[in-house]
Amino acid sequence: MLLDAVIIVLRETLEAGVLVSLLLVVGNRFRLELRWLWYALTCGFTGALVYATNLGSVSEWFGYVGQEVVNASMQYTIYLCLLVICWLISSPLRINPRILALFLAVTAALAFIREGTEITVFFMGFLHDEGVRVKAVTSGFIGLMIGVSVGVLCYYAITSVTPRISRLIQMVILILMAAGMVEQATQLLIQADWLPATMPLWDSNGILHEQSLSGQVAYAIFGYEATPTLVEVCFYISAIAFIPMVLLGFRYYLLPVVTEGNKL
Amino acid sequence: MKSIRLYLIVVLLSTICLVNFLAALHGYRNSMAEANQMLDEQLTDMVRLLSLFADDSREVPPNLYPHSVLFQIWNRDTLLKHSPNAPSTVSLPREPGFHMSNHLGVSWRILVYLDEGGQYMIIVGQRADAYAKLIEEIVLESILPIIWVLPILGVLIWLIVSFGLQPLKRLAGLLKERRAGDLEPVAKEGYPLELDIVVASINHLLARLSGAFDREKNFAADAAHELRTPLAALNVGLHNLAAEIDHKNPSLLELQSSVERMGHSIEQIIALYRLTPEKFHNAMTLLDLNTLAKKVIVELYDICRKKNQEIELETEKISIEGDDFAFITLLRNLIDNASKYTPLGGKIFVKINKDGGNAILTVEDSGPGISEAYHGRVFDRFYRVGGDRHDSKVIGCGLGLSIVERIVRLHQGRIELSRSDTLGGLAVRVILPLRQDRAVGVDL
Repeated sequence: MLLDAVIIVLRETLEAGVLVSLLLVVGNRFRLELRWLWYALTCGFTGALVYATNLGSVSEWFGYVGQEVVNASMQYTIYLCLLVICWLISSPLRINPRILALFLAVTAALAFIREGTEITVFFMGFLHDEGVRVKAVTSGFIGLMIGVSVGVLCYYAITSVTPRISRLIQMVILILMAAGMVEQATQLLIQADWLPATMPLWDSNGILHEQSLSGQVAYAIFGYEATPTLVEVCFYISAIAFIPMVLLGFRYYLLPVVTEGNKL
Repeated sequence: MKSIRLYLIVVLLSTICLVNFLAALHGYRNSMAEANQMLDEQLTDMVRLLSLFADDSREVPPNLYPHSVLFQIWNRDTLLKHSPNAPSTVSLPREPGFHMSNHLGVSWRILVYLDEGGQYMIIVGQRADAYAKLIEEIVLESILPIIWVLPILGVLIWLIVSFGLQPLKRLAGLLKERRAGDLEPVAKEGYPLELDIVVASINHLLARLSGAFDREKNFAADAAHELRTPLAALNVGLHNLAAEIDHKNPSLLELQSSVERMGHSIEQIIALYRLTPEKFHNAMTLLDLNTLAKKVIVELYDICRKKNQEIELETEKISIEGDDFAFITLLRNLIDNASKYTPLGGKIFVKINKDGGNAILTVEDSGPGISEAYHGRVFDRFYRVGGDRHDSKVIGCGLGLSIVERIVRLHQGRIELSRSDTLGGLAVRVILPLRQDRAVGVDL
């Protein structure tokens, strides 16, 4: 039970920790105040609490697959937000810091809602069981602290390298995390029977087990899945390829038109 | 990295958390593996024991197995014996080897043994959660102190990091409190090895800066001194020329004006040089401001008279600690400036009074004044409102107010510019403390 609880909390906090540390690096790079994070934290935790307490009725939506569909929608939204963030931070045009802060806040808030809901639901199950309450809280704390610690170390690791390498790392991890969101959302839609379920293409548990800490870190950073199906792989690759395509398309096709228009 | 202290505290705490909790999880996993191994060995022993009863008509005595153990002894498809908590049906796994199985709502570790002839099958099971619960409690007992100790660890790290950063803080404080003009080297003693190179670099930089400043100051002063002699010769030549040609010749007048302006500039540069902190004698004596003001007004009276200007002095008997030369220069510059920019027939008002612990010197005129937008800049060296296109047509080089401001600062006072309420022109207010703290240095 102890290990299971740690793994459940760790899985959620690790992903949120790495994502938020990356968003913080981006925010610092553009000298944004931390206000966006406080808004995201407030909205995220309130949203998680509301979502967790109404999970029963949400689950009944769309023919009893409401939870999967809502979670998948949040993850697709995070993907779109990360796409916009990638575009904003790589654009040669002067960006409006408020717009960037807004997208950072929405991304972080959605991540907090999603991860917070899972943790809240897990712990709500132990609230009335005095025998396991201490064990559950301790396990949760361990998972939370490991997740937060990895996030903090990630933040300082990314900021300690040269600005050029830091920018490259930011972009790569943002794209991988965005693709990871799509992969998880696709998995949920397969569970909801909205997408076809097929046999796994491979099983890499022998190389990197999903439940190990390294597996959890890999899951948090790039949505590692040891037994992916064809649909998941297709969505994952498309999600990775789509962001650079949008950025390059903007730079080489739209930007000359925009700058030409401004000159006129 | 915004703060080294914050970085060290957060990174150290995060690393300690990560390492400790991962070690605890690793320990938990190892303990669980060992517990499972013990459980398996216990089940194997039970199978050996029960095999003695397989082809025996005797019942297995209840004292041979604990209540947390279940067993079944099968002769092919016939159940021969079983414990009271075991099912009498084929609901447990039947493949030889170890299994995990749910029975009576709890998890059981099951060992299925088939004898060599394949006739007897012995199934033994033990509650898996019994050991797991025990191990979880042991691990929890070892983890809880780590959690409780985290805040204490945080405080300790904070104290240790603060202590470690003391030399850096001391050096930063020393540099922050240093006066702008102080280019003395920083004391090298008492710094750790890591800061030695920083202190050495700072001292090297300060030495280079000091040398550059000295060269710059000496150059200006030496140049001014060197120019005095040819200027004197030029004045004599001009005087002779004026005697030889018409003294109202426009070219001669222009030349005289330029030479006068050059002489004024040279004198002002020399005065400025004498008032640098290094050259300032700081020969503080008790000065009678009233007498000094009268003396300067008498000196400049001719200039005012030529412009038909009225000059008034209102003064109290005030003594102040200061440098004689500096105060005369200050008064001369202020009154001379007022006279220069006041039109013919205008008025100049000089007032010296006491206000609390300060002496207040006010010089007001009926000239055009200085727009508030320029108040911050008129103290810059060689700055004149309007630059070379100054419309007052008066001789000046833009050093007068700069010199005044330096003298005021040398005497730990302050200077304020405003519009004169009574005369409409510029009002210069100099506030000087009557008692000066000699220990306080001069920031220039």
